[in-house]
Amino acid sequence: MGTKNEIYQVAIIGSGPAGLSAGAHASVLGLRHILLEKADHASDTIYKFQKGKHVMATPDVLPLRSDVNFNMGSREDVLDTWNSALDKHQVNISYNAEVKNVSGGKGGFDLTLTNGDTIKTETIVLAIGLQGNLNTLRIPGSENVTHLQYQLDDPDEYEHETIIVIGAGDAAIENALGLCTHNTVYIANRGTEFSRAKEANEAAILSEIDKGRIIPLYNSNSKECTQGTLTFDTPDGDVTIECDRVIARLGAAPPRKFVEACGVSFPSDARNALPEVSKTYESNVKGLYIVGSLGGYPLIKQAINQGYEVIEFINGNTELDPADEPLITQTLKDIKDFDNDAFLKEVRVRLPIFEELNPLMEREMLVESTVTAPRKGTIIFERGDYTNSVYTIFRGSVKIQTNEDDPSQCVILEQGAFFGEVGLISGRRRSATILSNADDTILIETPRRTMLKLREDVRSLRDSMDKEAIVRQIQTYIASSLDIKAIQKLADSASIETFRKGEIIFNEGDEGDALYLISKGSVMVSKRIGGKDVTLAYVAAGNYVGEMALMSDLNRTATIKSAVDCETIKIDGDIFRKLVNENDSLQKEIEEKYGQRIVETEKMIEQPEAGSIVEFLMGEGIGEATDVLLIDESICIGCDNCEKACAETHNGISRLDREAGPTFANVHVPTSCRHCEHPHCMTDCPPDAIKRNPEGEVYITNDCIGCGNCERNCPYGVIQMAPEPPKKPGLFSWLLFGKGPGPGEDHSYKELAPEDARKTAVKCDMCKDITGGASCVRACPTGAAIRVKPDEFMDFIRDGGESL
Amino acid sequence: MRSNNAHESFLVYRGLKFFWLAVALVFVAIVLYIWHEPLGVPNGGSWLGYTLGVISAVLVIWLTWFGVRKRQYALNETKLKVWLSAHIYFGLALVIIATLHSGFQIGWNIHSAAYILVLLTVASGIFGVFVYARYPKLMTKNRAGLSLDEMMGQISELDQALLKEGRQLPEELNTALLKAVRETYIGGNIVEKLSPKRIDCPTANARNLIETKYADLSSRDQSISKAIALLAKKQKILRRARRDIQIKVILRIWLFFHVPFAIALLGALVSHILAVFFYW
Repeated sequence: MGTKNEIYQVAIIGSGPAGLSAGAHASVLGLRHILLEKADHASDTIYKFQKGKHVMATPDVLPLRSDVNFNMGSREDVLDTWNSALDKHQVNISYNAEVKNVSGGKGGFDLTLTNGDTIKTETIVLAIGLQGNLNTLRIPGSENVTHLQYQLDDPDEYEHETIIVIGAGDAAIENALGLCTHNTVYIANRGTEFSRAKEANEAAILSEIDKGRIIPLYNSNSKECTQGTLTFDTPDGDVTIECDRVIARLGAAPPRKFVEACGVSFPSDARNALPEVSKTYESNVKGLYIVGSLGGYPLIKQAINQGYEVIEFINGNTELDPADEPLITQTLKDIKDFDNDAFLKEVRVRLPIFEELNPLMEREMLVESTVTAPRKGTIIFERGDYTNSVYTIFRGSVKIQTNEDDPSQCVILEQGAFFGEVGLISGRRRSATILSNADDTILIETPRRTMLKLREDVRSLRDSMDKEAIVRQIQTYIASSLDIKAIQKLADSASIETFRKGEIIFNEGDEGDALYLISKGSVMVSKRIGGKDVTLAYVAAGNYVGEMALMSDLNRTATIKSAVDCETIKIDGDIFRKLVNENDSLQKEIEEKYGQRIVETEKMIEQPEAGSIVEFLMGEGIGEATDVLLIDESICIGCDNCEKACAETHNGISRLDREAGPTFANVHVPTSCRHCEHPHCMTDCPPDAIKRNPEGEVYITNDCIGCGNCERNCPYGVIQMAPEPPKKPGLFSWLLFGKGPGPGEDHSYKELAPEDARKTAVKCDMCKDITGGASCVRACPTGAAIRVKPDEFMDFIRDGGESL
Repeated sequence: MRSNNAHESFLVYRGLKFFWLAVALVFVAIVLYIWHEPLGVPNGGSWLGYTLGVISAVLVIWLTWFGVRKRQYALNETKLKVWLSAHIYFGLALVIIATLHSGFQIGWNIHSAAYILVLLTVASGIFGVFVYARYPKLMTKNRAGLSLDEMMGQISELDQALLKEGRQLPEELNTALLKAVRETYIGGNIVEKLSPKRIDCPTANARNLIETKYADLSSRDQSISKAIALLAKKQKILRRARRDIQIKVILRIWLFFHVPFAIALLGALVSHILAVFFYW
């Protein structure tokens, strides 16, 4: 520490990633500085991480800008790097220096430490993070027990204990993973997913749960505890578990008292509210800057960059661009009339759905999006494409062709509107062709993954997107002839209802009070005939059910059950009936559909076996398929030429297993990709290597890192992790001279491959790179192998029923 | 809506398109044969004889090429199903065309050897078509939705239960049950695969023993009635599993005749053609 009455240019409070980086940069710039740390070592939060913990360096796209290095690695490696940076840059750090009180203002702050020392400084950088203030479990009994803790330093300290870890975030998952080798570990999750955690952590915990090494408690809320027990409220009632230890990892809240005492104000009373800061990270107290997680930037890399930036700002360089500026420039390379700042500002002004994004989210969104300026008449996407990105109109307008046969029928969307959200929600093909309608149009195309994340994080974005999607779907799928006012009226009466797989939407005999438009997933229609439930039909997203009871004043004539997880738009029956009565063309449309359904129902009642096949196929998850391989066993000779063809056209590895998989009547569902509407494999691919191309094929690119998440996430077991197979001699070398193992997958190579051989995920890509269609189907000598799309299921099944 | 995937067997492909083409070819050949008045007896050496010979030779080579085409997986022109459909009907046509080419002359020579091989190859092929048309349905029916692996799983579960019951039973029975568990097999050599009845099955033997000698004790001994039920159940699954293997073998075994005949035919055809030109 310098002399007692020295006035520092900057005092940095907290030596975590942000403070450390600030200290290093202040030293490099030669500022009179002091870095105050209340513990006897730097970076207390990371220091308290579990031993050996893997520290991630996300977001990957963000470049690091600091005098302190940071790479993904173990806790120890990261701390070593940082400690040596402190030495190297001769940072003036003072340990055991906890700030008790802050007074004064810009140019003359006075800091009082708990040891009585006082420090004078011109500016303050507050980088204290949140971990000093952990959330606790507030349930009856939690005050009085001794087996409850909120942190875990070294999991190896505990052996042969029963331990409950509460939480679904990274800290909880890492604790559970660390403990599970030597203890019986439960992990209690209030929901059913670990999607809040980093992808690698989520994959790891799911894998351990799969192996039975960690016991999950889903939908479980802790209710009360006594010494040695913890009781959960679960969907199956209260569950009490005896345990030696409870580790609750419930996150942390800002140390509000201290921050408020410094004069900083908070925007709301919410427990997790964070103080607001300016673009230069300055708080409402001039000269007091807030960086790191307290300033709303929870990731280490962001905090390190901020530490550097805040010192630049304090040093007078207020023009400093954010670290991801070059990436934004890259995204906006085709846009001539706006510089980056203007564009960023205008995004939130012009595009209401992005209004509530914070600057950080907005930048990330733009980095991952594509910004284009299509001239009038350029096709953005075509009806029938399987793309699923969402577009927003930054400037200009687009034209939606609502009728494929008559291009003159169209709707114009203007600046500020968005489109493509129906494809994102339903996972189905684009329902209309969209073209640019002005020469100065600028569109932001945001990829599926980024949009889904934003939908999770920003409530208002999700709501306005859903609301618009309701209107558009009603317009597209029910009432294309209605004027927008009437549609709006229907939409206002509508609500989104979701159903889990197998849940009943309504029962035969119920009173008909609503119409359901299926926006995601698919449903099965069944009827009780002769005391037995007979499945009559499969209805896919983009269709409605429930019109029969509404049109006829009868009760429900059939039961509707969701075939997979479904999302429906429920439209009020009375309003719908009234609209139908007022509108002749709508009435005609609905009546046509009604008649068609009656005819189809009677056909299915004539052949109940076909109904059983529908039910079987839906049970196999084909309700969410877009293209599925089926085998008619009555003509399959078991030659496995389909598998051989698959291997021969795909680098020696067959992506289908003919014999495996269930059979009903003569319909066999081999283990092979169904190209789901919402591919489960895509949910958690760290390098985003799983793509769907406009024709619908879901495939894995060369970016695969071999993490195995997709293999675990696929409920149908159609993805395998495989090493590269060796090259084989050509067909004629085998045919004439018997060289090599012959056509098809050489099953021995997997055993022979070295233990550490690099494995990547392989799955069916529907032979997208080969003209002429899927090779399995082409290679079937008898015509037993066929590929079926959802709109062909019912035809196929009816044919199959006849040949039974 | 019908897709171009249309679910249609190789035999009836496109309204028997290749059947009618083959019929047309044969019809023309027969008409020409009747109309043609060669010098002397009908013979391969007349202009019609040469024509029919060339057609037959081309057909043989094209039909044999099926073995290669079947494995050209990356080739995207037509589906294999279409090739198979054509292979069958033109294969049948070959018999008649080759017969006309021979002018109904048979003797102990290389020419007749080629002709006999045509007949053998086509006959084995006809058997193949019969097998392909008949057995897949039987196989599906026999499996009743189970795969062979699942059947084996059920058998091993029953074996565990049998071992447990065996411990409570008289020595003679326990030994028979142990044998049934340890020595029962499905498959075996090719004869046993094709005719599972030939297998001397320890499970059947144990069942026989328990039913003839011990069944009357079952009212007093729970274990005996349980063992009878388990053995009956196991035998039923064994029958299914063996039948499954039998059908699989039948579906393949004809190829072990068809393919060698075809290769031999190719050899004989080359000799036949060389011989003809050598003695010209």
